[in-house]
Amino acid sequence: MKRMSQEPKRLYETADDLPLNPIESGTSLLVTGPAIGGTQRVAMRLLEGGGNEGLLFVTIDRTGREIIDLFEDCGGRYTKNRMAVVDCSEGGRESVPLNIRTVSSPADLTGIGIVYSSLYEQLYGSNILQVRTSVYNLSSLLAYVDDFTSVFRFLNTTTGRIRSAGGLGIFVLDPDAQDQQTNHTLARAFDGRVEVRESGDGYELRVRGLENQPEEWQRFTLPEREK
Amino acid sequence: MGSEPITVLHVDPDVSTRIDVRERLEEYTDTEVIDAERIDEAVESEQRPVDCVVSEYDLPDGTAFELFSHIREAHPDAACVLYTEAGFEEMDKDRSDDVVVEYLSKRIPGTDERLPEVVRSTALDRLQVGYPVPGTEDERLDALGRYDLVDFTSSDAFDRLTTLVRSYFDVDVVFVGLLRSHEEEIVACQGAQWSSLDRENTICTYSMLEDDVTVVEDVREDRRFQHNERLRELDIRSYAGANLTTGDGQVIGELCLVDSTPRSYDREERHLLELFAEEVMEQIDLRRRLPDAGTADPLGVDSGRGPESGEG
Repeated sequence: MKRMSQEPKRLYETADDLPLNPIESGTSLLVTGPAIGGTQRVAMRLLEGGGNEGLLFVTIDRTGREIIDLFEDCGGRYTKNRMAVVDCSEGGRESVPLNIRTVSSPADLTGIGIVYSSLYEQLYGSNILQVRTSVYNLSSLLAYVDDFTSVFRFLNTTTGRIRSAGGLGIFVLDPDAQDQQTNHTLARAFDGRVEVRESGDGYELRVRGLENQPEEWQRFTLPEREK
Repeated sequence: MGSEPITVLHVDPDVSTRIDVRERLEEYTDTEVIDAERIDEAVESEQRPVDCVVSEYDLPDGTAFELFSHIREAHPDAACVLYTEAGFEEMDKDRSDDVVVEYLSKRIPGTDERLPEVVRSTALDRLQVGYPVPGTEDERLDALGRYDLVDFTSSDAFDRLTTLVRSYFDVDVVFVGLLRSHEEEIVACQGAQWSSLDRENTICTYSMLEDDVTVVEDVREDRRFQHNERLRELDIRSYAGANLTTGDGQVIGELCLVDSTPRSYDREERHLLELFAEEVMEQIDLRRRLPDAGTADPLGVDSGRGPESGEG
């Protein structure tokens, strides 16, 4: 399925407090772990990149403003001229100053895809070629969309765009929200999986499916203010 | 899909756009473009399978969403690309179908140059299919293409095998399916009259990805299949499938048990299904090796079969 791009791979740096090596461009990762706690913070830290990168959020169960707050609480800096949000949440509101675009419902996968693609193309048009994407979170999306075929088509389309455009995709899934078989099948849409769990006063993570990343559990802590 | 040519259907009321897109896409020698001005014209020209549909949103006789829905009914794996002047806010929000498309705005400079790349990667890499695809899909399809199964459907051996399997497991339907690029071709079947199913509607599409026998005890309790109307129409309530694997490890099809009631399979039953699948695969392999023994045209090379014809 994964045709390698002819262009040389660029690398996406990862935040210093995560025990991860830089990640090849074109990669989409599934980040799994308990809904509350470390998983969302790890996902937010994975979105923090260099000054010239773009960032696109697709948010299902938080509003655009909430996801920006979460990103900033976790140490990120939201810069609207190279970042944007596709807000599909129930209370979502458009915001020109914050570059938030809304789609009426998480069930409107066609609409999410169109708004996401248009924002991606705008970044590309501004010569921002390295773009991180966050989809937060898939479990909520699955709760809104009955047809699994449509969900899979959406995932293939989105990860495909990320691959062909040399982006980095971070998709969050709460593994306890679906059965194991569904999780197993969903994971097939991605290049690799980052598993997160809490451990004492810190966290642990390990990576499946990617070379040059830790396969064994790695302990790490995140700055206190972010907890 | 490998080296097979790509057929693109392009629909746009503006003639200069049609010419421009045709020129850009046909710079690739493996890409053929059919173009149309309206939906009805597009539907007429869409008698043969298309790999990708590119369309302006606002068409003289409807919207691109209507066109895409229509195309996906006949070709569920077709990639759909909106290449349009229209912004999302101008599009119909009361769509009945969820089509999931790629979107390129003509208003953003440079998208005309990006279009061929988007079309080709979306079609060649199967980026819009509604199911997981094996990592070695091109190699797998090549492996399947090396078998010609023209004798298979009429073979008594497979009838006997599937009859035996059905009788042993006491299920409604037993079938042997080959997973081609967009469909599962049913080449032997006891208990039903199925000939082919779209890949996105088959459980085999999922079971082929697993090493072991796949069992779905109750389709209506499985998040992946519970809303699949086609499975419901076919009265498929439970499923067990074992891989048909070539000597070099490529899964070309499945031996499947299907029933209209929920049921489970214990370890021994799963093991037996695996043995039966190995037997089916051996029969397939045997037929492929026969020409070496001097049998006259056992691969049906004179039968006029299409691109799947064996290499002999």
